This record gives sequence, structure tokens and C-alpha cells, in this order.
Amino acid sequence: MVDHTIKIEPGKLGLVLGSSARPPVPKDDAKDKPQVK
Amino acid sequence: MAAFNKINNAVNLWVTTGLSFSTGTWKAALVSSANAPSGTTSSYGGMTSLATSNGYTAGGAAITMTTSNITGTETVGWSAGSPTWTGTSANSSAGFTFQYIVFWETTTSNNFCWFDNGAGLTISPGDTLTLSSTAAGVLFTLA
Repeated sequence: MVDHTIKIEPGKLGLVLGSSARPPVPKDDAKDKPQVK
Repeated sequence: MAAFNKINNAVNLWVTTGLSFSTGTWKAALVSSANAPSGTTSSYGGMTSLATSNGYTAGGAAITMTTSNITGTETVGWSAGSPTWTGTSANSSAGFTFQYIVFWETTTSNNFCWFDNGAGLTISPGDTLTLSSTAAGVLFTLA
């Protein structure tokens, strides 16, 4: 006789609330601009 | 550990029909390796789960769901008394074998989520199978 126990990992559901859920786009101007010598 | 897998249609049901964990009648059904569920397995009637045999009753074990809301996070789980099955040898073949567990609502026949044990598991006569959560009865959280 064996006792089997299956452990489930709880799910994590999330609401996406319009644009507020979007992360800000980082400004990385230095990388895009040509370097002036 | 068996990871949570969402049935895609479940989120639609929340906003269209008010899929309820507090008033619905829920069961955990066992499914064989040959009938793997997926995100589009929306209906219990549209899939093949284990038939009544050797300690398992078709449809699965009843579960009393619980809900709580703490600072905006909804936690859904089940009350004490984890679903438990015991294998028997009443029929010609002994015990029963499954791989997947599907949570479904019996009034509407809607599936909500499923778990994969990773491989087929046979519950032989006298063996017991208990379903528990790594977080004390928590099925999922919604935030």
C-alpha cells in the first residue's frame, strides 16, 4: 500500500489594466546617437 | 510538483457569465496519458477522462472551493479535506492510472485549469492518492 500525494503549484493570474500595465520604455539616447569626435 | 495550466476560455467566462468559485459545484477529474488536456480543452464533456473503475468515480472528486480577498488579491482554494482516492480491485483490472488532473465546474461543464503529473501514475488496490497544494489549499491567486 502506497500513499501518493500530488502537490500542485498554485497559479498566478493577473489583470492587464490598459496602458498603465505597460512598463515605461527606457530612453537610451546615448546608444542611438552618433558619437561626435 | 504539478504546475498550473489555465484553460483559455476561463477568462472569457469570468467576464461573460460570472464563473463563480463561491456558488459553483466543482470537481477534480483524473485523465489518462492518452487524453492530454490543453488550453483549448474548454468543456469537460469535450474531453475524455477516466471512467468509473477500481476506486475512481467518473467525473472525479467533489471539491468545496473557498475565496478570500486581501488588499486586492483574490485567493481561490479548497477547504479542508483534500480530494483523496483509494484504489480497489473490484473489477478485472486493478486500480486506475492517470496523468492529468482537471478542475471543472459541474453545472456548466466548464473546465478551469489542469495539472500534469509528468507521467502516468497507477493507484493500485490499497494505494491512496491525495491532491494537495504547495500553499495550503491554494488553487490560484488573481491580482
